[in-house]
Amino acid sequence: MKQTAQHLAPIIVALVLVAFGVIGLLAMHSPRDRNREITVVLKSTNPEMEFWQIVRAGIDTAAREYNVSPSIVGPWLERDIEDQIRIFEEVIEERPDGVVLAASDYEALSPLADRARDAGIRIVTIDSGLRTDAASSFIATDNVLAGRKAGERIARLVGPTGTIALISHIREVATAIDRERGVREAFAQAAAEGEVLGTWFTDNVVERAYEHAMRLMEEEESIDGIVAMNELTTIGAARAIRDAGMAGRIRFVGFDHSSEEIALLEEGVIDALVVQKPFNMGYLGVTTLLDVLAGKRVEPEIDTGAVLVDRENLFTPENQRLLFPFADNR
Amino acid sequence: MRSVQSAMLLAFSVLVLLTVIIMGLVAYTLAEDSLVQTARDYTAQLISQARQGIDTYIDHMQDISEVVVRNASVKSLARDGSGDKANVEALLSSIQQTRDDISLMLILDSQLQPVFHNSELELNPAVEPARQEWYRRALEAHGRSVISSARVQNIVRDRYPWVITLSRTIDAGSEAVFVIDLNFRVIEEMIERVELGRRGYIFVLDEDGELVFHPQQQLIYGNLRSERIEEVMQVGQGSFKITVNDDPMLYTVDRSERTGWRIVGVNYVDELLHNRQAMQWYYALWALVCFAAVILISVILASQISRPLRALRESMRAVEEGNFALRLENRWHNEIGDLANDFNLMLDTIDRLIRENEREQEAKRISELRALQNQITPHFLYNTLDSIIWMADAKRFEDVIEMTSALARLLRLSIRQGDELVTVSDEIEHVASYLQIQCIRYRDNLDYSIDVEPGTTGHRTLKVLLQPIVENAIYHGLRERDGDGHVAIRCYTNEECLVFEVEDNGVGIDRERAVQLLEEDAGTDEAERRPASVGLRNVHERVRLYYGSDFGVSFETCSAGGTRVRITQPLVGASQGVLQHV
Repeated sequence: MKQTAQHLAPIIVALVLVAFGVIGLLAMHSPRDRNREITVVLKSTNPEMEFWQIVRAGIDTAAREYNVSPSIVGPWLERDIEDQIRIFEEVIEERPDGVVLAASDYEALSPLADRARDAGIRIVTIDSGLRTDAASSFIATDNVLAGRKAGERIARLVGPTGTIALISHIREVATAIDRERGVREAFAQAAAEGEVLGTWFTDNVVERAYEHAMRLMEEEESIDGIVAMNELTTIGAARAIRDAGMAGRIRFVGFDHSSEEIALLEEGVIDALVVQKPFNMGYLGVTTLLDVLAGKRVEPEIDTGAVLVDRENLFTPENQRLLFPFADNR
Repeated sequence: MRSVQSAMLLAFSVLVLLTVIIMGLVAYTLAEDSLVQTARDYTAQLISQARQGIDTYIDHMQDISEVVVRNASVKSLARDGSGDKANVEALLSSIQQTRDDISLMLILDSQLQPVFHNSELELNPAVEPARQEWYRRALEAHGRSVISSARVQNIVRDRYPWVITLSRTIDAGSEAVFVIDLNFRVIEEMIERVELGRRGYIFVLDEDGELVFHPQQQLIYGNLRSERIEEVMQVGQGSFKITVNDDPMLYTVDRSERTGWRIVGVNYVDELLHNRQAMQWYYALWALVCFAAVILISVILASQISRPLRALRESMRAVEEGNFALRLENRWHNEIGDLANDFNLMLDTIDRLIRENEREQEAKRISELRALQNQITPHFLYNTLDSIIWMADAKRFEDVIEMTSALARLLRLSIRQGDELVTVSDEIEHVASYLQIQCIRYRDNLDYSIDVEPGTTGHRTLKVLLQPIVENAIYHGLRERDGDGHVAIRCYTNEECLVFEVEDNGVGIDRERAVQLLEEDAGTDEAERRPASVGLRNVHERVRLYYGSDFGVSFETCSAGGTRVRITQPLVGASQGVLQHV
């Protein structure tokens, strides 16, 4: 017996060593990054919607960098809230590991988000948030800060005693409220003796903005400047200023960027544009969600930042990339 | 104590483990290096191709610009604004239509009046051409071509394409400028076609280190990502390795002489070694297999060596315990076999020596025995002849005759050659003759009695046993008394033993003296000096030599005084008498 044990001992040792080696290798071999299922729900998948195409470019960049293949879904038009709800429900049925959500409606998507969270799906919201706290992180432009940039600039343009009017898109929409707050705060600080005539809402219709701007220029003799709160109100108000021949006399700061806005900026109708960074929203949406899935701590709110673009810095390398994100002339 | 087997095993294991690990690491490192080198070469090739592709486009633009500035209509337009604008436009248009990578061709005459390749295009009213960088640099270059970085061209109303702009004055010294825009998308596509793994990418820097193209340009501008621009600018051409967040990356830089741009390929080393894990597996498994195989082989080898050694050791132990007849079965044809052979030879020698020793001992014993028997004769003869001389001296002739005939009888019995053993009756006759002689010598001072158990007479006994005892009794027992000494001789059997008793009525003997008498070494000088006791000890030793140490002579002091000497020996029948081994 003792003899046998003596013979077997080294063989057993060898086998144990081999076993340890194999286990070690297996542990090493186990995939470090399990392929995570990610779905992105956007407000619009319409290729004409440049903002969301830039978001997609950011998503694609992150996906490539982190070797994931997110499926990107969403309604055709941004205002199709019902459509987005239906799509989000379908996504929840598929039980992905995580969802990047750009919510079309602050209220309507909240119950769904809660359901998704209860189903173990991690959520990161981009661009627009939710009432519920189901999302691990909210990645968007800090609209108060963006508004402050516009407010500071208009104050500098009209001087400390200037009078301005605000043209906004929709009452009680978060972006409108936050931006207006930012503008008013910054203007009050920078132009202590200035005056804000008021805020006019356009329901996000270009013509309404045009009309408001025209009427303001006709009726308010003291007006020195206008701030418009999003792309369509900016275009409407700018066209009014151009048509009234008041370019350069009514100082004007708008939001967002489109070819028309840039042309108006070059023409001198628009003095400055506050430009968001949708690419960063897409990119950070995906990377933050991956961090959440990897169990890392993430910031509950991430500001993607906004840039104030004027004629001077319109064609700096940074702003060229920001304002003209695609080389193929779209 | 560690066994040879485990010592060998340990040594082998450590040695092999070290060898396997070192060799494995070296081989793995070499393989990895070669993989990286291959990937590096391959990347360099790809980057170089991309650079050549870009250069080719720039060359084309250059060629086109040559064609345009040499055109007579263009020259006259540039010189004084005269010439056929339609003709120039047709030229530009025809060139532009052949190439879809040209997004714009424009001639600004010295009054900054434009001629586009397409008459529908008009200048962006918000842009002053003279303030544009491409215009200023063209003037400064005096007729040579100036190539811009990637930029958004805003010279045309409502159009903001990404382009690379080549601009030059049409005549050196003239302020008329020719502009040709290459659609940057063409360059981008060319760069994006180059696959550097799934995560690898290419970026382009201009002469000043500004990004011309980067797939993550927005991230870089947004400070969400950094790029190793400084390092790239230092390298100029070649490759270097950088590790960011434990992620080693290989930068391959190729600089274009034409544009001064640097095309930079970034590979993730992990991806270059996409089969690195497979390789690690491969090497590790082989190392393990080798290790296990060696352990197995060394177990077998060690047991090959230790098993015969153990067999050898066990044999030696058996030999230690006295088994000299044992021989090793020799199955081994190596040093161990030699050792076993030598061991067997040694055992042979030991065996032979033992036998020789036994034979020698036997011979010595027999010769000693003879010597002891022979020793008796001179003593007795001396004593008897002494008596005869003494009687002849006293003229007791009858006694002399009687004694001499008794002596003759005595000698007849004792000189009988060959046999060590005689019958009890012969031995009794012998001692009777002796006593007869002694009685004559001591006259009436000595008498004797002999009492033999009838059945014992046929048994065999060593010859000349009783006579030395009797002699001793007479000398040491009776001679010191004044007359009426008596010697009684008895012979009887007792529990398979034949017992002779010689009893005297002398002074007796104390126990110490008796033991001393018997135990003094035979044949020592001291014994020689005390002839009287020599005979007694001879008897004792002969009995013991012949029959074994269980037998021999014993003393006993009688209650009435005197000494009883008892010789005990085994019963030996008439036919027996073979010398036994002690």
